[in-house]
Amino acid sequence: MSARPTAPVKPASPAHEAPAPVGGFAPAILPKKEEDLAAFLLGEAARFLDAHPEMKGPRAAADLWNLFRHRHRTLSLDDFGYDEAAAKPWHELYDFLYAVWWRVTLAGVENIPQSGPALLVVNHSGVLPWDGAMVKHGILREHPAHRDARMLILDMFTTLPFLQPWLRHQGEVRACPENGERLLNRGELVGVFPEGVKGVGKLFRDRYRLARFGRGGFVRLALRTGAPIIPVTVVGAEEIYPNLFRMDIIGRPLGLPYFPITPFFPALGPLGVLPLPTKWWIDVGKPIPFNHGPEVADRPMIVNEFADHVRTTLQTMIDSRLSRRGNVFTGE
Amino acid sequence: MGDSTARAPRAKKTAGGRVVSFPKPGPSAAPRSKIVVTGGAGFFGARLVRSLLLRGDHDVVVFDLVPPADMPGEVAHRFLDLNLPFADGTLYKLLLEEKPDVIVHLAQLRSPSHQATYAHELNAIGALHVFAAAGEAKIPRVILGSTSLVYGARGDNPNFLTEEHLLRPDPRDRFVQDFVEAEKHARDHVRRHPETAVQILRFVPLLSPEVRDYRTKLFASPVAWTLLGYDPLVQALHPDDAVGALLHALDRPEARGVFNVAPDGILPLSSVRLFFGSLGVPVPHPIAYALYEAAWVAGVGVMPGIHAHYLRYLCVVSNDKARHVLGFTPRRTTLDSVLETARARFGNGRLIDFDVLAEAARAADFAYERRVHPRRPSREKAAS
Repeated sequence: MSARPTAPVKPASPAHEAPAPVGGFAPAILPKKEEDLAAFLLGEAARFLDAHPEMKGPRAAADLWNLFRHRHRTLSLDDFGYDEAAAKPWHELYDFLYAVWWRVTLAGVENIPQSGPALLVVNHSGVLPWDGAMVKHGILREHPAHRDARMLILDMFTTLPFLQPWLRHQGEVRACPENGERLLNRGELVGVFPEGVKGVGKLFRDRYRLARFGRGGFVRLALRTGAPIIPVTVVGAEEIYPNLFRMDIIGRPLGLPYFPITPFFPALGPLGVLPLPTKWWIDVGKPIPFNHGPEVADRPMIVNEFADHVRTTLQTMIDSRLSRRGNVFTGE
Repeated sequence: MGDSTARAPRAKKTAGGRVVSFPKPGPSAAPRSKIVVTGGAGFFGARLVRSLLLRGDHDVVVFDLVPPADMPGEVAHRFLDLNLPFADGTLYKLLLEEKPDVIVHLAQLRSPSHQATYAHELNAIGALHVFAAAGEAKIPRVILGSTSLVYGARGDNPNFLTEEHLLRPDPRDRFVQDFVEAEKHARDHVRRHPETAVQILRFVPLLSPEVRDYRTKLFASPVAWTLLGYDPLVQALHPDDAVGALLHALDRPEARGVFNVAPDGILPLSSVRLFFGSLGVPVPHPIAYALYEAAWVAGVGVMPGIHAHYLRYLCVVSNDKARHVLGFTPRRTTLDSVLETARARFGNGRLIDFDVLAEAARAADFAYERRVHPRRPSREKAAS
């Protein structure tokens, strides 16, 4: 085809070779007749592919899907897989839960050092680990240095499908001594729940009574790394899902450590998963120094005594907050 | 290893409790020695032999079925088939003739094989032959190339496995169990001959544009089953770094025991898929195991179904010990190896721009450094 110098420049497309419609307004880009539509779309697609050869590659579909899945993600992962950019979009949800849903009051955040390692020891409650998310988010929001606490999470949450990659992106780490030590050794703020599954699956009638503190692993962690322990209590989270009793006959076959029966779950179905909007207090206590030297970590009786001391401190803080708390939902 | 003096010293903490100190690696005490490389014509062995020839400070003899190709100089080759029933006798005679100072045992299959018997004979019984012959011939040093997969992918693994952790691969995973058995032969050898120096190097699976193992096939396939809701972190070691670690181990005969050879940094499996342009089709994990197994049995799969554990759970290892005791520093991160491989093999005509990615990777390395090695609080105080 040779160019005709007299003709105005026209886009060379089969759709444009059809005569212009007479009478009435019809955009020139659309085909005149309905039966032309398929041919028109195919033509448009072919034109698009000609303009973008990379879309014709055998891996284009995979690329599109993978890029979509990575839309919030970056390559800046730490060695536990924490992706700050991927965690960002969830902050809006946390902000809502923190400020509106549970109206969290965070007291004593200045007890957390500006930098350097520290071990937050938190009471666990509330069936689903919302308390950990709120402690972490509260410190991120209200601490002067906006420190990013790394919560050590129970195996039962870190090995579940979907939760495993999601928690990792949020910066959560599986609870084990090796992980805690690695984080503390590089100066991070680490949060632990020594009650573990006994705490989070607690029955409603046992609320605010601390369960046994594991095997004192958190004390050994502090002794080995020299990090101070900072007691943190959450009051209000015990009532978000009043766990009346555990139904092992359902939980066991599903591989769950417990299957809670609350007044709303499973009776109301998915609606029962909605946590009750109680009023929360998060209290941060004074740091307890643990600079007795790493060799003390191998003396179980002393470790146990330290663990009991921390447990008593937490129980006292909880009791003092409970005595000042009024209504569960308003706090007055 | 069993020898208590051979153990690398455990991490020591100072009074402050935060400084991990290992003894500094001493100067290389390596007079000219003779090194036998079993499997020296294979992908990994040939790379080691080439590096040794280029350095020229050791005599190298290759024990393999064929002589290695494309070598920078003459290399001695002796025929050895570790699959023959009496390979240990043959090997013993060869060792008496050659009188090497070190045996580097790299004659292994590094992918699951359909010929399970052959793979078992080579990977597990081959190591038995090598250690039996080395014991009889009184060879002072043996280096065994193993794999980091021997720790097993488990839901309760810590994020970074160290050399002290138990080996817990699935008993049904024959491919990994063969490496576990080879390590057992190494431990037995140390028990029988406490005077010999044995080093076991557990290499993270290799990745470079030239590597063609089951894992690169898995990453490179345009469509692959993924385990719905699981996305473990993975590591990938560049062969140059693997060879570098072997050279460091050769230079330090006093450093006995087990060493993980791993790169810095990790990457989620889904991000590896992004770079390779592989479309993951998520299926519930019991079905995914069955699909992988079915494909394997049908002869078109890349690995037995049970090996899909490694697509589900963590099996990431720490390189701290190799770093501090062997003085080994990996040159490339996991991200570097993955990017280099994906770019070389599938870099053209893609929707993702590898120039931009390489730029982002450099920035990511920087962020990684900042996070993993933050400034010490004392220095911060001094600065302010």
